[in-house]
Amino acid sequence: MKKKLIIFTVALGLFMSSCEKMIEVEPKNQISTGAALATVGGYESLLNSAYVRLIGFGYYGRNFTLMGEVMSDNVYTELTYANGRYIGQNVNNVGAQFDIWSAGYSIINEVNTIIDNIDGLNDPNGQSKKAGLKAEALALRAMVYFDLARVYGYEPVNVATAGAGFNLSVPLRLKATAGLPEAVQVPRATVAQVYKSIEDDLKASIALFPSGASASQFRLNKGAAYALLGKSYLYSGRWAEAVTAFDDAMNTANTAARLAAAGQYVAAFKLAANTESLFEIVINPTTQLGGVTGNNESLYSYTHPALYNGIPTFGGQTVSDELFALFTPGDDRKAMIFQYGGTSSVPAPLYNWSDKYSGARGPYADYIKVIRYADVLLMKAEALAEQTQYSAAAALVTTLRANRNATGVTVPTDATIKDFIQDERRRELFFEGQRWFDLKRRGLGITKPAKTGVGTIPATDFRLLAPIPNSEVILGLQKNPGY
Amino acid sequence: MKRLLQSLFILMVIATNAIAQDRTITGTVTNKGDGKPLLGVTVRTRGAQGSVQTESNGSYTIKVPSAATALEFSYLGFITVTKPLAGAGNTINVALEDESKVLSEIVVTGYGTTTKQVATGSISTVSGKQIESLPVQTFDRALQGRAAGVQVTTNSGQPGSGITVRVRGVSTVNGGSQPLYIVDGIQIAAGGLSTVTTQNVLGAINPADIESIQILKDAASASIYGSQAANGVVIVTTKRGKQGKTQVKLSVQQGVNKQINPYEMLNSQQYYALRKEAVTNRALRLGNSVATAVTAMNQGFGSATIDPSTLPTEDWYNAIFRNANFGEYNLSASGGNEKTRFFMSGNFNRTQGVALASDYKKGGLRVNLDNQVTDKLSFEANLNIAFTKSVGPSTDGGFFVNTPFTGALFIPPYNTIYMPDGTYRNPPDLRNAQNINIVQHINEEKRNTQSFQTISNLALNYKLLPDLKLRLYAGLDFADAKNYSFRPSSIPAYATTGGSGAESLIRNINYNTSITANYNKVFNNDHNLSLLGGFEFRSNQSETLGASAQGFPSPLFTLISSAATPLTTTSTFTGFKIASLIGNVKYDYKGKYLFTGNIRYDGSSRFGADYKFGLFGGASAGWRIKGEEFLKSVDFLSDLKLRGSFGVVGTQPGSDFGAISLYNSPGAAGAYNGLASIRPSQLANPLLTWEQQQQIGLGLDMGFFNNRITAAVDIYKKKTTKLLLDRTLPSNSGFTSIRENGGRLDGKGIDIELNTINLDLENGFKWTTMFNIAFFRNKLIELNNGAQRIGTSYIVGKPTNILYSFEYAGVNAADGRPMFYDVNGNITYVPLANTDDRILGYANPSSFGGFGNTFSYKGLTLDVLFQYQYGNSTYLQTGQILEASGMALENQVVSQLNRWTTPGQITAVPRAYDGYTEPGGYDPTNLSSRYVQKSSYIRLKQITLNYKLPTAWTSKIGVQGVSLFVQGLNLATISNYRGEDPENTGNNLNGYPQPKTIAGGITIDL
Repeated sequence: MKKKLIIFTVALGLFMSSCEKMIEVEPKNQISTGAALATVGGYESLLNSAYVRLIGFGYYGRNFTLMGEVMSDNVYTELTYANGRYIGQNVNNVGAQFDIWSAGYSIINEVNTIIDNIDGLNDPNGQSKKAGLKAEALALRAMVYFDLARVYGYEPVNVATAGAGFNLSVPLRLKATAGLPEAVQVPRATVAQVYKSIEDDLKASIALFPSGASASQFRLNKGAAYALLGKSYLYSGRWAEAVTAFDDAMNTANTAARLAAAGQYVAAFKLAANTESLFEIVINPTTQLGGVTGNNESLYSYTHPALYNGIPTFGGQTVSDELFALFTPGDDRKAMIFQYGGTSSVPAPLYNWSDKYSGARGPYADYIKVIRYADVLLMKAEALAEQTQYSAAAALVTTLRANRNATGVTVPTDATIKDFIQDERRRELFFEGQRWFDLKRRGLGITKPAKTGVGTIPATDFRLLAPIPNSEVILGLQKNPGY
Repeated sequence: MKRLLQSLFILMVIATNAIAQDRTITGTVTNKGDGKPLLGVTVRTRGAQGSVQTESNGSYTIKVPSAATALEFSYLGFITVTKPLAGAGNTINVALEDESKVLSEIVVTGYGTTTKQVATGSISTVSGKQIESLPVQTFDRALQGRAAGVQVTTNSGQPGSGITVRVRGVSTVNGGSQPLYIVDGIQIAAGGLSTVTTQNVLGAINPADIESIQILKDAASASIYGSQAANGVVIVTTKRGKQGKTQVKLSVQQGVNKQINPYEMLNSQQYYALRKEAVTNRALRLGNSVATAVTAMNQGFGSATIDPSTLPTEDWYNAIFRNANFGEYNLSASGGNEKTRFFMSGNFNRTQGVALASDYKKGGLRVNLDNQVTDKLSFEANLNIAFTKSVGPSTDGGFFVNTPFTGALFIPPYNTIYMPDGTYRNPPDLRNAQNINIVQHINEEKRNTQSFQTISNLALNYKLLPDLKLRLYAGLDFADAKNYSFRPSSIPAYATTGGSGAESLIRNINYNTSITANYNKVFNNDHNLSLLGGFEFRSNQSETLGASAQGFPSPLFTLISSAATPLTTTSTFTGFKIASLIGNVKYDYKGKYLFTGNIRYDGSSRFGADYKFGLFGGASAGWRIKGEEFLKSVDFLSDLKLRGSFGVVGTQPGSDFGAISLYNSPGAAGAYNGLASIRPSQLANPLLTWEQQQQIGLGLDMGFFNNRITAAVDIYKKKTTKLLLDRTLPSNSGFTSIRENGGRLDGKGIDIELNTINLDLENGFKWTTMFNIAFFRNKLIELNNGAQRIGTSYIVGKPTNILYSFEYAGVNAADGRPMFYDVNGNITYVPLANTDDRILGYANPSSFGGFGNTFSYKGLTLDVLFQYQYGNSTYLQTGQILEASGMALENQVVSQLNRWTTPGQITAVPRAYDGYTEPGGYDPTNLSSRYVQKSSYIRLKQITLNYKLPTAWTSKIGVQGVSLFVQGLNLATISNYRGEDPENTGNNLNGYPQPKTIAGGITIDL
């Protein structure tokens, strides 16, 4: 009996262990973490994933680029043609705001994985690539934290004023989530902490980037890192440091970007890359906007009337009358705007449309300019003006205006230049996702286009901060005021 | 009482004495079906030696020793009958019943069978007879209203579409909730095969080939299927041949499908007036010029000034429907000899959907064979092949304007479909219509799925010992499907890209194989014991391969190889494997005290590393009280059985690789600047395992007046623990959630089935009634990780599938603005999310069932089946477009003419305001209780009139039987639901409503 029992037990044991083999199925579409990151190619692919998340339609691919214009004063959303797109944003309904949380933190987790591990990688074929990858990862992390910080919190420069002391920014995660134990909630860091981290990351990346101006504008590079650093100083009111960083950004040793020649503003936007781009994001018209995606989601579709040039769109985002009135005749930048009806050229009323996203890179496709030379130049002028160096600032603005054939107006050389620079930024950078943040950080309030019937939104209005996603609030993150 | 017992005892003694002597018994054995005598029936004495066979006239004579207790009459293909000798005279006539006729009395329990009399579980049976001539493409539809506790919802009108089946309610949050389907022992990978429309895998089984469908509802019965059985098990048995003359059966059915419940839309004049009112109201409110606003609006109609009386009216929504034909053709032959029996059938089904460009074609063949090689060895084979082609619209629900049922809502009525020259109206002549002429889209897009399937099996039975049988079994469920979609450049929306096309192939290989040993023994005449043990292995894998392209040279080139620009390539692989040990024990004592036990030890590749194997099982017991002496004399009570059961079953994680940490590549769409990318897609959870359900039940089977009234009442409680739930991770971790086990969901319910023979008159008139009702309610007791709710659909302490939003308070009679209730019940004009919203209803019904009557007189039979559902609420998503007071460009239903217009007017429809939201107000077309509705209904599901021609006529032309029938499906519905079809639940945008059907047919038995 005992023998039988032993035989039985052994048989059962053998049976069960063979069963365990019997029920193994290996996934083929995915691979395990260790295998994925065994080579430098794995890290390169992981960094590509972080870049490609930038073109998501919630982020630079559309909303982060265009929705700020809609929420501020550059866009009037024509109900009849907008098909519901951005209707709430245009009248600043509560909650009709940016949502870059999930895209942003997905990127951060991916670059954190690179930053955490790439130093320890031992791939004989990839040693030379490690520093550059890490530099890009650091710069990307800084850029995404900068975007998160300005969407969900106040800037160092206005925490005390517009923010009335509300100094919380976003959670600061600088380590990758390798497993469930790391996936715990992290409280919101302060604005100062997040901006410190941005500064640290950018400085570290600048040290790691190879020198020279040959780097691709389609990836983060030394010049772009300097520009971002300067921008973060600008948002922090650190004017002198900002000026230095902007100078480094425009230094031909660090970037190939230069100001487009007079008459070339419109043409430069159709180039890949724009000659002014320090950093520009690539989108593929077939794989990323193919099928009906371009029609449904693209910047082109949102900003062009239906069937303009025969292309179907969901366009309702028109140039506001107030923006249009800012241009003087002959300004190259005015040529970026065309008049058209809602669906055809004939019947009144006609609207002003922006052709900044003209489908230059294939059906519905335009590369997205994240940091442009003219932006850097104007930010430097702003930092100078804030240090009362009005003439130096005016000289920069005048240079720009000359390159845009915008003559006939004298650039002021007193304190009023601060407002002039903001207007110039609006003329230069409309529909590029700057206006909302410019108004917000400078505490100017938002004077909405008259046609929206909204009036003026004060700088202290709670709607200037995006709501923290409800899923995060449930998990213990503090809400933004007013929500 | 004591005296009564005494006299009972004495009576029994006398009765026993009365038979204690030798005697000769004679009689005749006939076929119960046709009353003809049967030759060669074995008549055997029980309790003593001796047997004889019947003569050609069916008569027999047998000497019965005093020890004999009963006579047993057995004949192949017929049910064996045992007649007790006690109390019987010396003549015993027996009518044997054809096995197939009483198959509903045989209950298939998974790896074995039992009889209804001694079954201890809660098992509903639908016989093939009930459904074989229904014009349904898949048998699961036919279950609707016919089995207590089985809720069937047809939420698509696409012929051959997938449907929703719930056995005993919903007891999970994220786990699968479809039952496990078993066809002749094969565990089906149920679901869909189409990526362009919907095609139900179960279409491979021709409903007319089905002998019976059993639904194992209680966990004790279902537990033989372990970790796959938490949602019940539907066991389908196909027809098998019988010994005797070959029976040939031909049936032909033709019919028409019609739109079930068309919306009543505004004409262009009403529409224009409403739009003008909306635009005017907006201009006045914003202080803009009314004239300018109206002019701008008129431009949308084509010119600055519009005379509305000249506008044509097109009813776009109803224009995408049609009267659709269908035909069903079945031919079968069955028969056999002692050694070999066969059933063969061929069928063809051609069904047009009621929407344009929506079709279903299916052809199938089946051969079921049985061969008795020797006394010990036999083979069974079921071979089936089916080809199905589905053509149909996208099933994507939501605001997709290029889907038919959504797109048609978005086209204003003054646009005609065609231009005067007969071409499709398109922009710029198609105005304010999302640039889409939906009729052109439907007609010119090509969308189809063609699949080949086989659900076949082979079994070998070997009698090792007289009481011990071995069975080797292998079954395959294989499907190859090709999906094809093509959007030609002749459609303006696709002209810029030169048209686009996509092709994909799906291959599903799903098989299970088992070896089982079955031991049956009767001890001392009274103890019936059956033991079953075995091993089973299941493997299921699915692969897809697809590509898409755009830029076709012309709409006539339709294969993607001819396109200029390749867009995407996809290939996927997924699969799971299960290895299991199975055990089953059945025991009864004198058919009175009944016991069934099941056990299953399941290992699955889907479980996490720390929980690879799980033990499931159940036990049920019954007491046939009617079998007791003290009830023998209670004549009105013909049967009474009490049943009790307890079982533990599981649900596997839905994702095949849900437990491991993974990196994936988003493919070409995720490449950056042409460079491939990879990304972490999932964190590991080695603890991930099955969802566990315990169910305890009590049942009572009753029969009265010689079973003229039979009833079964089941009451049960379920407890599901280790629910498969997503733990929301802080998304700042880079991950949004991880699947884990936790929480608890309880459910309880009652199933009642009642069958009565109301009239059974001498002249042949018979009226029978079937009624069933099921009550079910669940309650979420606990969630994982201390969570109190999941979104708004699941809240701890509440039933599941909540509909949650603002409570609409109607219209302010003074100014026509929409009002809502705030959290304190006060009126607000701007309700706040996460504050003022509340529970508005539940999507699951509190009760549902069916009610059927059959009237027959001579050859005439009338079947009437009603089916109903009560207590569920539905989110009427189409209402947000159709019932919007003309606030946007879309046409409206006539109820919107009741919008507020004058102060003091009491109405629930807000005033027309272009662009929905007044300054300082709230968009009244956002989700609120305005668009959530109780959608209880009762529906005349089926009415069939069948006339069997008198045999006297048909035999003259050498035909055994001819039946003519007419039938209708979904002919009438009583419901308050404002959508088209109360079965079209959930978010009904782009819902394809099921049709009503009228059909006629003929069945010929040769």
